[in-house]
Amino acid sequence: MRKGAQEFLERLASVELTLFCLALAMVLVVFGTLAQVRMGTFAAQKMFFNRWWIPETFGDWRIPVFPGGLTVGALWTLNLIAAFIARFKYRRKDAGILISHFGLILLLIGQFVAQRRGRESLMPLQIGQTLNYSEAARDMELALIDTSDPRWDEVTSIPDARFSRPGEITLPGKPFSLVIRKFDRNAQLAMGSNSLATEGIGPRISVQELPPVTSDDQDNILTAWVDVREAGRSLGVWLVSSGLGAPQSFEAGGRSYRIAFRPRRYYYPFSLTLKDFRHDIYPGTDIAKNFSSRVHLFEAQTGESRDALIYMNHPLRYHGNTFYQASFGQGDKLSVLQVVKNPAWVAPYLSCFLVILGLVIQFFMHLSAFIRRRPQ
Amino acid sequence: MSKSVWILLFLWAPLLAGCEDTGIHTYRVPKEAPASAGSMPEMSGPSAASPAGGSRPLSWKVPAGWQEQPLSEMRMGSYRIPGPNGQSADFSVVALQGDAGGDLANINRWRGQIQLPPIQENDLPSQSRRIHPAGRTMLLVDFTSEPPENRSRRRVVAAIWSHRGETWFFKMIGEAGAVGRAKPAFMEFLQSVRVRAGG
Repeated sequence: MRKGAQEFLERLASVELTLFCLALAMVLVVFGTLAQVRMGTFAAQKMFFNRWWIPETFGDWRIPVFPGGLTVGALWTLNLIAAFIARFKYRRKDAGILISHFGLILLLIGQFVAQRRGRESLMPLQIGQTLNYSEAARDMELALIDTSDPRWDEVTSIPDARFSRPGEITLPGKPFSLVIRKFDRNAQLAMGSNSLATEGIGPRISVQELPPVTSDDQDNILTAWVDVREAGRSLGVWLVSSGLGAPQSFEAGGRSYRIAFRPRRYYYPFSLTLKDFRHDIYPGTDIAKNFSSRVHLFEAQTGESRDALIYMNHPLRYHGNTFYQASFGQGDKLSVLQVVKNPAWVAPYLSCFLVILGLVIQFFMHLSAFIRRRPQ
Repeated sequence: MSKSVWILLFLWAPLLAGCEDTGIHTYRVPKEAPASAGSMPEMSGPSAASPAGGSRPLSWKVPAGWQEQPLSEMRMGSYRIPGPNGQSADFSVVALQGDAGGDLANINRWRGQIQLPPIQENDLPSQSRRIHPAGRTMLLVDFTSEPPENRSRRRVVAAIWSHRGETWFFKMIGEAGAVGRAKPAFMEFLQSVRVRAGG
């Protein structure tokens, strides 16, 4: 290996870098935890742990001021991998250390995959109701629904994050494009008049921009003015908002569309029907003993058709999704399931097993060496 | 720049590329049931969408004789109410997030629709009353216009209900005869309103 690369690898594998990463992680944990009071759990988690850099606004500039959780995790992972290449000795007596550190790498990579690819959503089901989708708790989407086909709807989903960037949004396979005229991350709607919107309900709605909220018990009302353009010609400007009820409609290219801002939906090839919800209490008290939902799972393609009981610590796992009992309402007529999809769910279990196994091996190796050295 | 830095950047590039998903996706889904339930006696409509909980439909019982009208972008429910002597009234259910501009602004807008002058905040207690259909607190208003000669009197009866950060408007407007005759059915309608999901 060439000298420069070898030197770089040794620096990357150094214990100093490990300690530096641990120090950064500690600072992140302290400030991320304190920020939860001010920002709410979700926003603080996103800001400190699910970002590459933590930005700070100086005038019109957003400048990264501290590495985020992803950066620290990635750097630490590289440090550990480099240690395997350049620092660790592959000797029998170091087997435990190697296994433990491999477990750590697996934990970090698993967490990275969970943060980038995992998702959590909610499925509120009333008794007797059937749903084949769940909705994100925070993320929104602009849904453009082509309703022309009598057999199905074709949904084009534009994530709300796309609205932060001004300019034209081209839609693959669609005869029109969208131009975001204005976007408010939070607003209050009222009956009134609106100068920007020309079509749909918009001209009869007044919009007051509000500062975005981040606390867990408040929601932003995302509002945008969308110019629908077909062949360079404007079909009109629609006001779309998560605060509006029913979707609005328009025609373009001879097809009918509905447009709405709504919680981001995740569709499944199967459906769940809530057959029964139970809210058991201890006799003579109001203290909850058990919450459980009996659901019917149906998938047309595979013919899967069965009942499942979901209760505390007993979720339903199907097609990589886990359905937990999360909440209830409407006088026990509504059950809310949390749907978790985590492609790396096995990583923490496996990595913990490997770390413990490595430590146990290391301990017994030292113990046996100690016993052997002890004077008889 | 040293070679080590280039190697570091190379190693980081794929990770940096995996930033927030801003991709546009298209997929086919089975058709959803329309908001209107045709001529069924009980119908429902989705409320203002909530980021936290998805759509929250209300259900209600439609009084006899009320004729369903097509829903518009804002209307969760829409009925024509036939009255005596060819008169008629229009009934609508509308939901908006937040306080939708406040009670006074909405009440004055309705007064304007029947050519009545606006009232002041101090007048609200005397011009409205609190009602409690099915245990819910709603603000009820009832105004009748003083029409110019040869024009029929117009009347608006409306209830405002704040529910989990949304404001629901149940409004009946039309010729005074039709509205007056339909008012008991209007009150029955309010009694029949149920929260169907997310409540």
